Amino acid sequence: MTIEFLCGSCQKHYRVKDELAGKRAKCQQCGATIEIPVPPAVDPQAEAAAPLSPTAPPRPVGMPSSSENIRGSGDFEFEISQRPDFALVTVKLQPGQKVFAEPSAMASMDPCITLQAGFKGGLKRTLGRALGGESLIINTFTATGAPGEVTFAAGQPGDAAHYRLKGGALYLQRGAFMLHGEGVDLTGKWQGAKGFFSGEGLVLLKASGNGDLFFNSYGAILPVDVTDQYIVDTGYIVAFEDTLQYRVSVLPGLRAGGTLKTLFFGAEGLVCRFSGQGRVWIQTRHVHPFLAWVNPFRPAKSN
Amino acid sequence: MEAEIRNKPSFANLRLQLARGDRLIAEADAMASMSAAIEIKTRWNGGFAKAVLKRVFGGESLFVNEFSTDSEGELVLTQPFPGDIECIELKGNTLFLQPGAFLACEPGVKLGLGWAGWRSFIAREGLFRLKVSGSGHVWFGAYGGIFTREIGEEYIVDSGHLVAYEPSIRIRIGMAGGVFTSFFSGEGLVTRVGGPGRIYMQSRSFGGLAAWANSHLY
Repeated sequence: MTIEFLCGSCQKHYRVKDELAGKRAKCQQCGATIEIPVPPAVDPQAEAAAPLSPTAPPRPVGMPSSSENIRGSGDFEFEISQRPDFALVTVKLQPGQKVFAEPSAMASMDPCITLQAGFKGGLKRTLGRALGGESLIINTFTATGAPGEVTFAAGQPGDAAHYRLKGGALYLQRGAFMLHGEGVDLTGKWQGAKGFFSGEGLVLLKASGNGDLFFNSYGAILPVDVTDQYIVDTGYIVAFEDTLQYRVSVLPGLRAGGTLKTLFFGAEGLVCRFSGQGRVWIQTRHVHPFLAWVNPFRPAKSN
Repeated sequence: MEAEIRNKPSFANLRLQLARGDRLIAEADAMASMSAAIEIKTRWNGGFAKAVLKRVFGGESLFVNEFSTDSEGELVLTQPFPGDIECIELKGNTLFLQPGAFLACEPGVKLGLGWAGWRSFIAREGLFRLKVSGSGHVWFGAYGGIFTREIGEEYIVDSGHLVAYEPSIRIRIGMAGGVFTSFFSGEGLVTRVGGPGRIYMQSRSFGGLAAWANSHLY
């Protein structure tokens, strides 16, 4: 066995015998004193199981890896499978239980589930949702007479995530909302000038109350626990907790160049600077670059 | 013949190891790479008339490729869209595949075109369906992940999500709810499948992808 390490000052790569662990030596290249590290005890079984990634990638505690199924139970049992590429949310409803979903999200369901489309929450909330980039219509799925399942899938390739609201609130980017359980209030929230400059809509969707919320993304979803300051390109935000403050600004080091149109509608170089304590979810793909990439290949319409 | 489905579910592809005497029938265009020892013969998909019918109504190609070898070699097959590939083994039973789902099969499998009916057509599931029967392995693909359900009495599937089903399954169309709901829920007509039997579904649909992309284009 050998120990491999880098010199702390000049990054020269060394390979030494095990017996030298903990000893001090002089770097042959830059002359700095280096302490030969003691290798961590390796579990031979764990090493055999994961030969390609001996160290697990960092991820927030309690979050499953990007391809594991997520199982859980809030007010109802649920499972998110086919992650992260083609996430499918399956909910199991007991008689009388309801979930509320965006139009077209249902993929399949048991016949004991009744579907009712409607304007939920009155005129003000409905308009708020519409301004937040969601449909005016909310579909209500109710289990009647017997327990049953409903599966939900987004149109775009990507992941889905579950969030349990406990009196707090979560802001969702346009189109990120998928479904919620009872006890959750969904409305649009005017963002003022921040929304205007973010290029992603003037109004963010705000989910609050006590209950289960599911949201989806284009690409995989990465949760980030913000403890101080964190910067996210506006197009990559999926959701964030309302305990975070945010400010939209031009990417540091980038002047607000380009035409007015790119600044206002293309959101080039605009970032969201989060501060405070809370979690933000980001997606690993962005719809506008994808469409810009696809668009030249689409057949031109002659009209 | 050894077979392995790799890179599930996003970019699933099928790797086959053919030995002398093994034969495999695959959708035209499905071959991505193969050993030099493997020979391809292209032929009409079940005779000229049937091939044309399958092309026009079954969403399949006019030709199929037959792969064989005198020694041994490997063959990699893919499908046009991102998504999953599933394998089933037929032992004298039958499976119906939605148009476009077929990828490959062993020579003991018979490919036929079945009338799916006007109900299926109105439900936008196609007027015809591909019927695979006989004995041997069949590989089929989908856009999205593939998931299955054992249907007892009845189950509801949004149109565009059904991939394959057993012949004991009855297909009916229904409205997603009342008149208002069916118009505004975005679900419109749904497929009601009656059991008993197994169905295969995909977790994404082409319609959903198009609607998502179009909603962001201005």
